[in-house]
Parts: sequence; C-alpha cells; structure tokens
Amino acid sequence: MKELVNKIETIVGPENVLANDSDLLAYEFDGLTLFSGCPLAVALPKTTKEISSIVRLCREASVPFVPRGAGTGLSGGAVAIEGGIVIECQRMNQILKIDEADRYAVVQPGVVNAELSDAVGHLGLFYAPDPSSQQACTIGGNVAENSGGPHTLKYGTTTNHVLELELVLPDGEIVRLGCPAGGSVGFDFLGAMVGSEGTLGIVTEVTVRLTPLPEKIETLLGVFPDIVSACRAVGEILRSGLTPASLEISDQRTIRAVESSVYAAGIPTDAGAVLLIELDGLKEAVERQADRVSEIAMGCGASRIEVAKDEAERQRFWRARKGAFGAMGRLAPDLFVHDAVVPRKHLPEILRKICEIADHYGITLSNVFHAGDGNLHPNISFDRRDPEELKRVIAAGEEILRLCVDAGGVITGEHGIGVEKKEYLHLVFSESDLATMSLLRDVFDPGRVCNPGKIFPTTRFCTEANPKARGYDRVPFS
Amino acid sequence: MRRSAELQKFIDPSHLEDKETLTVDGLPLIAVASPSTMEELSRILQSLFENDLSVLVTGNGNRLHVGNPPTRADLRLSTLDLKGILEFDQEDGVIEVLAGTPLPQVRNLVNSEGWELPLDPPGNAPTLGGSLASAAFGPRFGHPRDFVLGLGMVMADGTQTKCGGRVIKNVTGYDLMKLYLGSYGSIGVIGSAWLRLLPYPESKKVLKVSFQKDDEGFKDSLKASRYTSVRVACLTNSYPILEASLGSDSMNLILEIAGDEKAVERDFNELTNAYRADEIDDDVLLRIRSNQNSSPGASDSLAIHFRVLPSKLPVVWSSLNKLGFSCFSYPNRGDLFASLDPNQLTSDTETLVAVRTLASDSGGSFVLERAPLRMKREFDVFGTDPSLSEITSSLKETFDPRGILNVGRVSGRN
Repeated sequence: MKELVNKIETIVGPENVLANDSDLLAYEFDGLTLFSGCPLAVALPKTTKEISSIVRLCREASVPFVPRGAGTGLSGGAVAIEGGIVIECQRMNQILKIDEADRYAVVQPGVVNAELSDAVGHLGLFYAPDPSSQQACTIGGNVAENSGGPHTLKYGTTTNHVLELELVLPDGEIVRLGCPAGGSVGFDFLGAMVGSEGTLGIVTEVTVRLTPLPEKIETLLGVFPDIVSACRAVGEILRSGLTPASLEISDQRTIRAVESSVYAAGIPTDAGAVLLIELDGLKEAVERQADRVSEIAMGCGASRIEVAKDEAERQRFWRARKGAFGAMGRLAPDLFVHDAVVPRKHLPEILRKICEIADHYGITLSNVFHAGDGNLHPNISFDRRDPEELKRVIAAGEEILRLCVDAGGVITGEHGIGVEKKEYLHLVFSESDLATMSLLRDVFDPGRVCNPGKIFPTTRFCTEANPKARGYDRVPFS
Repeated sequence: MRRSAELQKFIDPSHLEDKETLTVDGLPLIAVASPSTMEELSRILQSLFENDLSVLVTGNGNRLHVGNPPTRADLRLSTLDLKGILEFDQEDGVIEVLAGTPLPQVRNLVNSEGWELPLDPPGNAPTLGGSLASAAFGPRFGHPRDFVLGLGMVMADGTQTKCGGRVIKNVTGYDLMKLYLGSYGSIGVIGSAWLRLLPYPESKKVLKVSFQKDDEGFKDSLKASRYTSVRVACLTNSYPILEASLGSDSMNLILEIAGDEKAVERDFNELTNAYRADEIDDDVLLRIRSNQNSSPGASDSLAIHFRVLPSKLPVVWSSLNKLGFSCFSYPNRGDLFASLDPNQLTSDTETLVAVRTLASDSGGSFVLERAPLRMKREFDVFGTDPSLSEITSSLKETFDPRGILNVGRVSGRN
C-alpha cells in the first residue's frame, strides 16, 4: 500500500497527499458522526487528469476510492468505510465560466455552494439549490447527493439545475454527460448520475443553470401554539394554489435552542412552533400572496405573523432556521439528524406520532423541517457514550422511518442513503427493485471500487435496532 | 413479423390478436399483445424473454416516427389496455396513472379539481407511457423529467420493479427514473407513474408579438419570452401556425402568460407597451402543439429537433434557413424545430454533418425526429456521442440481456 501512496504522490505532489494518522483523523467522519472509517490516504488533486490517474492506480491495485467534497454530508457518504483512498476535490474550486446571456455557469466540484450565488448576484442571477450547509458544502458534493434545501419547494433540487457533467468513471475514463443547453439525447446518464452518492464516478466539472433573482421577496414568520396547527397551515397554503418559495417549520425545542445561541432571532420561546414562509416573484403578486398566506395562517391558529421589514431582518429569520442544527449542539454532545419524507397531507398526524415515539423512548427530539416538501428532520440529541441511550435513539429512529414509509413516504429526501440508511432501504424497495438498481452499478462500477459500502444493504432484511447490528459499535471516543 | 396463431403457445390468447399491419421503418408488425394489468404485462414479458421473442412497445403510436429502424420485433406490445387512474391525491396534488391512459383523460380529471397536468405532448390522445418513454413534451411544460415522481416498471424478464415514489422530494436510492424517461421502452416497459401536478393558474392570456427578423428582433424576442409569467413562447415566421401568412422579414412570438392575476396583468401591460403585441385567441396554442409533431410535406420529410443555447438561436435558425429548412422555436428553452422536404437535399451527408456541427457549436444537441429510411439507415437519429457508446451499449445489454425490447431503436442503435 505504501507503494500506491508513493505513486499518488508522484501524480499530485507529496504535499497534496495526507497519510499520517493525525491528518487522517479529520477524514474519519463526515457530518454524521455515528460512522467512522479511516482511509489509507487522502489525495488532494487539482485537475481532472490527476483524478483519472489516481482512479486508474486504485483500480489496478484493487483499492477502493471515495470522492469527498467538504465532508458536510449527513449519511456517511464521504467516509471511507472500507478504507482505501479518499479523493478530496476541495482544491478544484474555480468558477470556470459564467454565461449571463444563457444563464449558466461552469464550476469545478470544490466550489462552495454559496460562493456561486455570491459570484453571480451582480448579474441578477443565483444558483437555486441552497442546502442549510451552503456556506461550506461544495457543488460536487451537492451533485453526488442531489442536495435540496429550503427553497426546493419552488425551485427543485440539484438535479433540476445540472446541465452538464464532466466525470471520471470508475475505470479512469473521462466522459461528459449532457450539454449546456440542457435536455438529453439518448439515455439520460446525467440524470442517473445526480444523487448516485459518488458510487458511479467522480464529478470533476459541473455546468449548472442560473436562475433570475426574483424582483420581490417577502419573508413571514408565523407563530403557532403547536406544531400540528403549523402543519395544517402548510396544507391550507398549498391547497389554496399558492407555491411559496419555502415553507419551513421549527418546533419549540428548536426555537429555544436557537434563541439561546448566536443564531437568536428574537422568536418568542413560548411559541409551540414557527412557520417561516418565503414568497417571491413580481412585486404585485407577492404582496397579494403575503396577505392571503397571513390570512390562512391566522385561520389555522397562528397567534401572530411577523413580516421581515428589510433584508437584514429576513437574514435574521433565515439565520435562525439555517443555524438550527448548530444550535442543537447546546442540547447534547451528539445529534442524529434524521431525514424522511411523507405526503404533505399527513404532516399533522405524522408529527403527532413522532412526538409520541420520542416520549415512548425517552429521547430528546426536536423538529426543524421543510414542511412544504413534506421533508421531515426529526433531530435526536443524545450522548453516544451512553450505550443504553444510543440503543433507544436507534430504535426510535427506525420507528420514525417505518412510520413515514407506512404513510406513503420515503426514508430520505435530501441527505442520501450513504452508510446510515442502507440497511433501511428494504423498508422502501423490494429485492427486485434493489437488484435493478444494482444493474446500474454493474454498468459503471462492476468491481465495486468506487465508494463501496454505500447505498446497498448488506443484509437481506431490516436488522434489529441494535447498535452492533448497524455498525454503530465502532463509535470512537467512548 | 409473426401472427398471433404462432404466438399462442407463449402468450395467453385472450390478450393476443392480429391487427392491421403496422410498419415501423420498414418492419411490418401484425400480432399485438395487449395486457390490461401489470401482472399480465409481467407474464407476457417473462414468456417473451424465456422464448427469445422480441417486441416493439407502443402506446397510441404518436412517436413511432422517432428512433432508429428496429432490427427485430416478433410482435407489438400495446399498452393501450393498461389504463386507468390508480390514485388521485387532490390534497397533495399528485396522481398515479397506468401507462396506457390517454393524457386528455388525466388532464380533464385534474383540471376539474384545480390542478394542471404538466405534460402537453402533441399527438392524438397520447398515452402517459408513450409520452414518458419518448420524453415527449409540448410548448408549455418541457421535458417530463421534472414532474415524474415514481415509476412502476416491468423489466425485460418480466420482473416488476419500482423506482422513486409518490412524494415530491426523494433521494432514496438511484434515480433510475431519469434513465427510463426517454429510453423508448428499450430497457424496461413503463407500467405506471406517479406525477406531480401544478396549481391551475389563476389567470391566463395569449399574445402575439411581432419582431423584425434580424439580430435585434431575435434579441428582443428572447427578452420578451423571459418575462416572469411566460409559460409558452413560440417564435415563428414560416410555419402554418398563424392563419395569416407572414412576410419573410418578420417573425411572430406567441406568448402565453399565466399565473397570479396581478402578475399576468402587469406582464401583459408591459409587453403591450414595449412591443407590437396583441391579445389573441388561445386556440393558437393547439396549432403550435400540432405543428411541433408534424412537418409540412411528405410523411418521409426530414424534421429535426434541436436544443441549443438561446443566444445561439439566430445563428442556428439562419444557417438552417440557408440549408432550406423551415424553423420555429421555443426561444426561452432553446428548442428549435426544423423541417424540409428531403428531396431538396443535394447531399444527405453534407446536410447532416452541418446539422451536427450546428448543434455542437451551439452548446446543444439534436434528434432527427423524422427522416426517410435511407437516412435513418445511414445515420444514428440521436446523433450519438461516440464517447458514450460503450456505456450506452453496456446499459442496454445489462437491462435487456437477451435483446428483446425495441431492439435497434435507441441511441447507438441498441
């Protein structure tokens, strides 16, 4: 293996290979700290050709490789769970082209999501997918995970905004999929590649659609006595024919954590839940829609509606929403961010049942989620050093996922399967469904060297909710 | 080509009959299998797979002119009896529909409940399955990939599988849906689909805006087609879309603006103030849609669909005019439809090389949607990128290992 690392050093330079234990420690996790895997080495390439050469070397040596962006993923997707070489794309961080007339940009995979919108804002454009981690996460990682964010209700997820990809296939070949004009001719490999969690190749260049900035944005904060009434308001707003840019709910525990943190936005801590509503479009339409939305929210039990009076206040509302996960660090040493989707009409009932599950298992659970998409994030705060608590956390999480699937939902809306949920895939898909997905893997990566140990279950049926069965027994620092 | 009598030992005779010969690019088909449930579809495909019998899968036949010539097909597999609406969730605005269901039936149902079906392909009662398998689209909504939430598939060996789901946000496993959409039934047969609906617009207006046919006119037409409320923009000068014939030096942009009443009102006022614009009857939209699917002249005319960067449209349009093509376009999306009578061509090869260069120089792609058989035999109608030929063939071989589904029809003649 030392020989392989030496060869990689000749490709990218020794200063761009990390192989000592202290350096590798930072790569044992991604944003989900329940799974760890130590790579043999981390390569920091600068060009597509370098990635291709590294991939060819790994393939020849039958050593797995794992693409990695900023490591902000929440399903263990960028963790070298089976060892091997991590290929980190953060040095490939250039915006290569901005085409104002045709509204697209060409970027390297290591470009940070928010930086792209910052770079094109002066042209009246923005990059629409905006995951909560957008200040850190990279476009390459977003492509791998088909990332969403609070504004996907109106603007869609990453897959709706990717026009062309350059990627290195698991055999080292470099191909381009799609074209800047969009559309697809022949099989839509581009569409299949987005959201494949780095298991079909490594993205080395991305052409993305840029969206015109809306003329007017109105951001409202509805204060509700409880989460169920906030969910009802979401249903009523959508049934009225309106499509807000986003509809986000935070529950009381989240509000209190946020208000005790640097993200505090002045939200009343006795509120049962808040609904953040953003409307955008032409001025006349947005003003009228804001009135309608306020009326609906008040009719569903909101005690008051605050309208952001300026951009600073809007940013304050959003900081409270996007900083919620960080603020939860105040509640316990560890946070398990779940991610599931349900038909929106079931939100009130599902939220009620999730609270019952939390009570039953005696866990600390908070909810902050993309209500307009039906995309839940039940967040469990816990201490992984307590094995009994860990067991309850896992059991509760599994029960929540089962509840969502039984309601017609799925087990992830934006975080991906990764390592975290691969044994739960059986809840949604049959053996035949999974075998068909596996055919696609066969086409691109028959040797299973590209990010192995992700997505596909290793067991035939859902395993019991015990930490060992799910691999959580490898949790360090205990 | 086989007759049903030859196939009865493989397929339940109650789902099999001989019909009037349908010839697809020179291949005649008589026997037709018509399952009415997913289970029947599964049984039929399993039997065909086990006995190495190949099929050409059809809906209502609106897109049979698209594709490379089939290299083999023992019979036709029609999805027309596999019809019905399985679930309509009016609260969430999603619907599950069987493949053979005609889209007008779905559209009528959802419209009556305040929803809009975001599929508007041209043709005679196009089916859901045919529209999705051929990624057919119309002037209003574009490619179906943004509106399909889940698919119920039957694979080449008869295995029933599903991908996606019924919720509007989903990253659970690979997005196989994208591969099936536009794969022309070559790697699996679409049996059913969950679709996302859109709220029916509060207000709609149709306008005709006139521009000079020069660079400035193209620029202005693109600007006008990008107003916030625009959902149809069709630029034309020589197609029989408008009843009145236009001079060769002018173009008309047909716009449908829709959505919030106040937004529509404002865009209407701004457009009529900024340009020579008049409100017109909305049946022009039907004429646009029907012209997208057909082209003037003989049934073996040459019709090409380009997708190019919008800023390149003037160059592409003008180059195609010089080659003798008539054109119309959806400028906001970069779609351009060009057609001509192939008898006017001096050289098939030179024309198609020029077409390929035009598409690639414009950051786009093209499909020969209609072409005489002689051209289809010589050129891949999808203008396949050679660098993708290996994975394209590999995908076909992996998903259809015995080569029984729509053989030879898709890109790379797979």
